[in-house]
Amino acid sequence: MKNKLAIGLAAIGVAAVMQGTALAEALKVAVVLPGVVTDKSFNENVYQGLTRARDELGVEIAYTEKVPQPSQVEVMSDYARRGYDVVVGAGAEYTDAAKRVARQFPDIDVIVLNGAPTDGVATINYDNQQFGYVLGLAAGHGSETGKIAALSAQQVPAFEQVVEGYRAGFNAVRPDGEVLVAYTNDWADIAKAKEASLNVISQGADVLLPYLDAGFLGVVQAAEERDVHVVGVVRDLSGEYPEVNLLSTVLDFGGALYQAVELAQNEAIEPRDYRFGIGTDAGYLGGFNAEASQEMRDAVAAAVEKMQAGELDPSAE
Amino acid sequence: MRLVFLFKGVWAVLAALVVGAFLVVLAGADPLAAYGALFSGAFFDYYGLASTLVRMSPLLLAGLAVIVPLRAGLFNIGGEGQIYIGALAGTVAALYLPEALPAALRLPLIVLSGALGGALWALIPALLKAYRGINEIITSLLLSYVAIYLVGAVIHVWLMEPGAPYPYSREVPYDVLLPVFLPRTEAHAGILIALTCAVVLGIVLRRTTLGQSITVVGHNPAAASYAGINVKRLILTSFAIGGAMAGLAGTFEVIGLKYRLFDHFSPGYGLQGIIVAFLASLSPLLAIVAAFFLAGLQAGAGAMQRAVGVDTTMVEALQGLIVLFVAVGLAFRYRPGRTAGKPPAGAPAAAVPETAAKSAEG
Repeated sequence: MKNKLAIGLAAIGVAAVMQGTALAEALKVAVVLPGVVTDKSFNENVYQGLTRARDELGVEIAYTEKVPQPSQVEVMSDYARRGYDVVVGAGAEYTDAAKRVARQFPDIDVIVLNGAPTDGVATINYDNQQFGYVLGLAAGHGSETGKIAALSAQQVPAFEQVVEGYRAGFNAVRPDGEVLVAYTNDWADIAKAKEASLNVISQGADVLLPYLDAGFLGVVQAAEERDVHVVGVVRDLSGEYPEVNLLSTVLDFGGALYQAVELAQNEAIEPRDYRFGIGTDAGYLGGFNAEASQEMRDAVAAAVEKMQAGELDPSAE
Repeated sequence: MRLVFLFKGVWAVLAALVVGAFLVVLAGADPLAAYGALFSGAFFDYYGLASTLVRMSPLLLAGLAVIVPLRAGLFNIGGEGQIYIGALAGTVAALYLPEALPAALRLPLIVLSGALGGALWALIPALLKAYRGINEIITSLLLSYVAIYLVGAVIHVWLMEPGAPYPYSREVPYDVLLPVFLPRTEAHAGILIALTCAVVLGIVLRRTTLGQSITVVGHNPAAASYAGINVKRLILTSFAIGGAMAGLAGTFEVIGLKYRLFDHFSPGYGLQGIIVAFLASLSPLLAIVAAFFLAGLQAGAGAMQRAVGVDTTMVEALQGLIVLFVAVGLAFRYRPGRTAGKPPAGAPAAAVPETAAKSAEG
């Protein structure tokens, strides 16, 4: 028993020493995630960007998974006071917590992925309307019923922007077309997402846009069962689900995070809104369905070109 | 020999740690390293200790919410609901008391209304028990769900921050936030109030007429009634005190830690209070130790995950094992003249109130 106690105390001592030696020069980056890093969606994508930053930029990383909304401030503050230089909230729902942490720890860089522009916080965003617009265009050419749908967990600004562009693109092809919107209240719940999808399909929607984490799989399953199409906005669905995928765009949040970390390493990041348009390193077009019409492909390509040139602004319509 | 039985909680924790070690091995990690990281992260690190104290506050108060009624032989399983109603009452007071009043006056009013909210919610099962004989375990437990969803509904329709992605209230004014007593941490003054409550209740239960009457009712309500004690009034009093403690726990979470009332903000502190109560053998003073220990397990879980890669849910399993071993421990009572480890045949493991109340006296 005494021996075990001695070993236990030694272990505590070793742990304490190891904590002491961690005071290296490398930039320390912590990411707080709403889900698990193996969700094959948003969280995994962010995690890949984080590990890439570790491997290529040599920063020290840490992350916490599955942080519920009421605990966000505690977890983020804990990283801030333990000497992390950059604390990232992965998702729009961290905006408010980030604001409080930035106020309390003015010396560190607080970053929110996908968050609305906020005082004291660097927000990494996409021109979500552009991504929604091309998907809406594709849906306009692919839909037979004239009804399409978009699903998310919460009514966050980024999703509303996607829907705005989605609707504009759809109505550009079908002026009388209707866009249904549904919320599941859970980013990761596959069953809830499937149920909500079957519901909108029953209402006549035949193209679905999932803006979810792991929950996107429920939308894909429902689409497979009822033989309708899905447009992927966050990740490219054309590789794994070639049958149901109509067109995908890729919002590479991991890539955007990597760029933000690189900026922070050069001490160049500022508390302002950073925005990626379609056709950039961190946000681009994915694959079409193999049976997609040439008309659809041409319309999408033309729209992307116009938006990059600044001739088309779907958010203004 | 008596001592062996006095510290049953310690044995239960040790047994849980030993069994938990096997779980850590199953998870593919070294148990000594895992426990080392867990406890050094919780107790031997400035920020870790502060985080342990922050979690201790609601656990201790929720433990007291169980202990006081249980001394009178009644189960208050509804601490969770009383925490939510207390937090709601405190938040409403914090948001709507006129700002013209000085903060030094508003802060005590907020704390009082939180305690009052919890106490009133606890009085519902107490009244049903005292005047209709309805089982307080069932009513208090089920009222928790009513409370949780009621608070959610109130946040949705009334208190919600405009444009928020999740149901939470507006931020409470800065001048009524509880002061922090450890610099650069979130260790707030509510922790000190919780400790004071535990000490005061310890004295009240041991040294005052009220405390003695509660104990007598707990042992034998019929005899207490015969001795001239107003049993109904004591049921109400003990539940109201317990509910007030839970209400304080909820209020401190809002004005000490989160600064907002969140939907589903409590990760089950009310139910964990039951573990605290039994681990402490129903002593308010031992509850401080029990709550500190459980809070440390939760605060150190993250450090353990970072150090050895064991998932934080391991700590939940540990808590479950502690509950199991504490329950097993209730079957073993100190009886002079009998050998330890041989419980009397047919020991009434289910007769919890009497057993627990007696063991509290040592």
